[in-house]
Amino acid sequence: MKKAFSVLLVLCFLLGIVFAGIVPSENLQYIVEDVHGKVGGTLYYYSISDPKTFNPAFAQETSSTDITGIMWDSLVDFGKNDDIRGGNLALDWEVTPEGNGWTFTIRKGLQWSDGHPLTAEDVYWTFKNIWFVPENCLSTYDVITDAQGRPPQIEKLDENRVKIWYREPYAVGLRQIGGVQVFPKHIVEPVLAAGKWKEFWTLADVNKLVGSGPMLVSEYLPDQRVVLKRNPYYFRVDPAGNRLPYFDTLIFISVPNLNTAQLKFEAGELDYLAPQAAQYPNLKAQAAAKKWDVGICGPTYSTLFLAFNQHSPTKEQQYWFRNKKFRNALSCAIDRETMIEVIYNGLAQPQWGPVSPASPFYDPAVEDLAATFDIAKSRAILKEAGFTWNAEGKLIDDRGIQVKFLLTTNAGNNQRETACNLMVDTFGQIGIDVIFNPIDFNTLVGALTATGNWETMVMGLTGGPDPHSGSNVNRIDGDLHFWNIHPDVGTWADPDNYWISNEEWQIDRIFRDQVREMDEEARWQMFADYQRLFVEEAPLVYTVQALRLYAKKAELKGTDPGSSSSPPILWNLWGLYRE
Amino acid sequence: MLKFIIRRLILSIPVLLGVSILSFLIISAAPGNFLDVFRLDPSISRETVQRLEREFGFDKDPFTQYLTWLFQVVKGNWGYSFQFKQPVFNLIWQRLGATLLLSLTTLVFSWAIGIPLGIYAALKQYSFKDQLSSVIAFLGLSIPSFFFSLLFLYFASRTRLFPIGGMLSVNSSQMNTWELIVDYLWHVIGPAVTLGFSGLAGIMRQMRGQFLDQLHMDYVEFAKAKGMPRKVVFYKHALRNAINPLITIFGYSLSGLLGGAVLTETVFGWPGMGRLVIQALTAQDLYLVMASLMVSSLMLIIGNLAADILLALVDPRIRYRFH
Amino acid sequence: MNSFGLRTGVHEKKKPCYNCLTLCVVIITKPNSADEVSDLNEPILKVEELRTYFDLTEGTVKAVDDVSFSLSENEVIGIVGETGSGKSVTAKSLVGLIAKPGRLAGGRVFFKTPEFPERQKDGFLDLAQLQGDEYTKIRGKHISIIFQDPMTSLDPLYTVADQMTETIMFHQKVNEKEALDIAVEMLDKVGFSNPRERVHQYPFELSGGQRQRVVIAIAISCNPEILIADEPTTALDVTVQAQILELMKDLQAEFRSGLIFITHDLAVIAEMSDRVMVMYGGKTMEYTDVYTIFENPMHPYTHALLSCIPRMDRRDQVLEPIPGQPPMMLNAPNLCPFLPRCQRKIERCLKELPSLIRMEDHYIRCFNPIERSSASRRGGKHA
Repeated sequence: MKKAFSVLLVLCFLLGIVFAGIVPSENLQYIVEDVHGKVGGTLYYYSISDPKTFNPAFAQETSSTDITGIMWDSLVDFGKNDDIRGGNLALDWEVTPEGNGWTFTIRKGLQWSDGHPLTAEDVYWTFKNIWFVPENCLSTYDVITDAQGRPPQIEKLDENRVKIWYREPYAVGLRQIGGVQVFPKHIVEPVLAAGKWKEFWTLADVNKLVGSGPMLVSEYLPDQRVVLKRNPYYFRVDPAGNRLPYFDTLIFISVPNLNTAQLKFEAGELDYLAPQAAQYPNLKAQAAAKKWDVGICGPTYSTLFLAFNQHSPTKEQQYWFRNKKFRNALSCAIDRETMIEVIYNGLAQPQWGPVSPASPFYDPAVEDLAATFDIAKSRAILKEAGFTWNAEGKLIDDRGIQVKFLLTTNAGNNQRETACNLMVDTFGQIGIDVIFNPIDFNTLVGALTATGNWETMVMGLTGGPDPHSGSNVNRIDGDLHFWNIHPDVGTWADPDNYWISNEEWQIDRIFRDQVREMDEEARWQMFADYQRLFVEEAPLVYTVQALRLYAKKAELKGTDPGSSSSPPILWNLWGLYRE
Repeated sequence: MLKFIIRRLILSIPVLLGVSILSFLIISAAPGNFLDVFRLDPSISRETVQRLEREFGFDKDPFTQYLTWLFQVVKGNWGYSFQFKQPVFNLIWQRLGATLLLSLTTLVFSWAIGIPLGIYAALKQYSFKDQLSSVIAFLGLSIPSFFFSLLFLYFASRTRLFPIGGMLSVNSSQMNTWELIVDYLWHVIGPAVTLGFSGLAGIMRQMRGQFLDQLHMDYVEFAKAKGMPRKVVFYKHALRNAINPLITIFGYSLSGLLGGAVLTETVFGWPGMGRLVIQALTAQDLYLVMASLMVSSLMLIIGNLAADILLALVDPRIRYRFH
Repeated sequence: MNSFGLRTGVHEKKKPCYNCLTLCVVIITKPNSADEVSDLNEPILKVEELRTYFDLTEGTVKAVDDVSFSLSENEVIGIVGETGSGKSVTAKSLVGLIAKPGRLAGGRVFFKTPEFPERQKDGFLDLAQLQGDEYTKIRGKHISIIFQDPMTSLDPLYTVADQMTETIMFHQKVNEKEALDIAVEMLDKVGFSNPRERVHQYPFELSGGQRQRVVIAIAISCNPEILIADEPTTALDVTVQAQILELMKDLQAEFRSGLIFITHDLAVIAEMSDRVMVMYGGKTMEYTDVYTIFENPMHPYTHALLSCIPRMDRRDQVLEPIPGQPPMMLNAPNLCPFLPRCQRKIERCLKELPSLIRMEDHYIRCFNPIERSSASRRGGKHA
């Protein structure tokens, strides 16, 4: 990766020299992208829910971050799978001699969309006054602090360089620091001083937006559309010297749901659609006739798992749920192939471990541990663990108690509900009475985080390319270590009845150590161990993983749909064009 | 009359207060709050959630929260949306126009067609045309409007005769006023027709029934006996009287202007209040929900008042009671 | 014609008593009416074999089936009969107020009028031939009709002035101001105090009697040749009834218009009419001058009808209800409708329908009538 990066850097440099003559007006250190498109036009995209704010510091859900991500750039450039592509606002960076930080060199000649120069001062100011102050952002402070919750420090070395460092080496620091956006000091400083930062860059502030990204919002009509216009000062060019992006305009057309989006796409009103599995066959069938490209991007970072509450309010259940053989037996009794067919129309794949195949840290070795659907094997494991069956064929534990439990998920989520129903069926085949009881999402969250009042549930958490994003889940004192909550975190866990398996200790250790491991290779190996341990221990039983799909007009070129980035084709908005 | 209106408005204050207390209680009683999504996000720490809880006032008991809200409302501050970080009234205001526009268009559509059609059917009682319109009316009354909307969308997408949802075309900002009106009408046909169809059917049946009833009234017969031509008998006497009960219905339909189209707005992607309110409800965006409930209650009160005033304007007997 | 009897009625509150008093008074004060009848001019309205049928899904109702009579200027004809005997339908048929599913199934209504000269025959226009709005040239202008219930005869949403002037302006081609003057004058005539102000009131601000006065004022406002009053006092309370009857008599005398007075109240008939037509089952049963009807009724039905009302001059009288029920009018057989209740029926009655035969000035539909001169009410009673 590093090698590829330096090659690119050199290439950029060389091309920069070659084409400096074409765009001579400024002393800008361009990024030259290897794209060959046509200038102009409008890209028609869609959004199912409106942005809630244009302020990246308070934007939470993707409907907002999809748009703010276009308007403000960060130091580091991330690719279609959230992989590090190279520098963005930063020309390059180097690791500090202590190995606990980075010195970023900011590109020369950068300008904000209002023409004001973008310098290291903006970077320094943004980190110092926005990201390092918990009150001035929603969750970014949590993201950039280290494993102990301590923020990094920043120093402005000169007009072009800033140094950001942690107290000790922090492996994910570059990804986190490099991923947060930089704001124009000349605009934000007075707002912050006036105490109006929280109410700044709301949806009503379209005319106050000053950014660094390829496009900026120029019009927002609630529940109708968000219109973005190209930023004339954007710092990417193509080899022919055209200033990117190619498109003049990007319009997010608001649609009430994906079905309407499909109708609009079919009617030619949209250039791109990320269909669901159910919509896919129909689109695929029309693709040739309608001149569409329809295909599969790859696995996503979403997950779907079965969790067992090891502090279940029903005491006898704790005995089963803490038994890793029991959990593994149930994993064998989950018919993932049928789930894929029924829920995802075949457009999904079984998921065995906690890390998505989309992640660079995915270790294919987990597939060797796959618990394929096998009732006989499941029964054999249960038998080995001391379970028996009574005359009616119901599963009995070694204390003579019949095994039964409630299974829940958030009501209204069809995919999860279907998964639950399939589990009720196959668990019945090994003699377990499962009662499916879907509950309201908020009640479910309350059960998970406040009361512990649940037995088993089907849930999903969104991961990321770096497994570190799951720290809060995997560390035994993590807030989301909900299957075996630490008594210090969850009041419902009885300290006298708290027990942690050896594997969980090891996983916890890995998550504490990996952040200090600056060697990518060694870190990869740590996460490989983590994946193996997790699958063997099976505190969460993973089921299936949806594939991300795409459909686009063939005339839309330059797309490289990522499986994780959101929205899938806009990560390289600068390189898209219409033929 | 003015005294009557003022009295009614004063009487509506305790009603609104009651509505607000009840709404606040119900929302508070619902499990969880706006921050639940944050609690399940691995990237957000517990400290952050607790900080936000303090910021949003969730650490206080519901009664204190309500009183704080009420105090602010009396001062004219309806609160900020948790999601949008904007004053809730701005958000509602932005979408109020679209909802009112759709509701009014629908109202005009259903009344402008329902009334004449009802009269026509009454005048042609028992004829084939009357029975045909009855059949269509019953269809309209029995098909749920959201299903009809879906059918319409399908039709629009197959034939391309109508746009697939939305209120204005994407290039509307480059249009002049005249083009804007045409564009709006082109877009509004779908939602207005599907939303207004059942109303139209109801109005038509009501009008037909009322008009037929009136035709058998003594004063209509007496008007004929006086030698008045059919036109005068039907339109001056029978129609004026037949329209009275419909005016009451009209007044009440005014109160439904804001809340009547949530499903249709959702299906057609109409940029109105319906979608905002549903989003606010699912996200438990407390003050936005409260504000929209209060606006709807206010509309209900104003609608009822409008119905009474309209009725007084057309019926001297009611007017007499106001004095 | 204004009478002592009416004033008595005012003092007596109970209706049966009022009936009997009026009746006796009328009978005593009416000896000259037979002369008046003979003095009558050429008729202005001749109704011949009028038939009005209602086509229902269950069958045809012959509400009016073969009714004939004529009316002269300044003459009062009373039409009497039980509820459902076809009185009101007869009245409405004359002026084309029969609405679907009813229809004029036959007969002629000859009316002497200057309207539609091209369609006239011997100076008479057959109203049964008129269509739709053509009636507007007749109704309210030449023939006015007053209905039973004054509470509902006026449109509640318009002022008295509006409802009066619309008629006056339409028929008399005057402007609004002149029409209003006429309306006020008419209200004055029907006994309104302060008409110039009250003309602007709404019907709901008036009492029942006042409303009926307004209705009458509208009816006479264009000075019609014929006024049809369909039970105009039934819905009013007794004292008001008397006032309205007196008013109508006075007005009729003043305008010398022909009056068709419909009622089920024999006492009122006796008070108002010159001639009386008794209807039963949609048919004319008996038709003659008022004196003969009360003293020498020939039809068993008329006879039975008179037995139902008390008389002041017969102290030993026993009131006699008519046995049986009024006829079902649906798909009635072509026989005398009174047959099932008749105590004088003979063999022939079961086979055919008697036609309306004329005996001097006395029309009767019966095969076995009560003998004319010798017939007494006592005899009828024991038959």
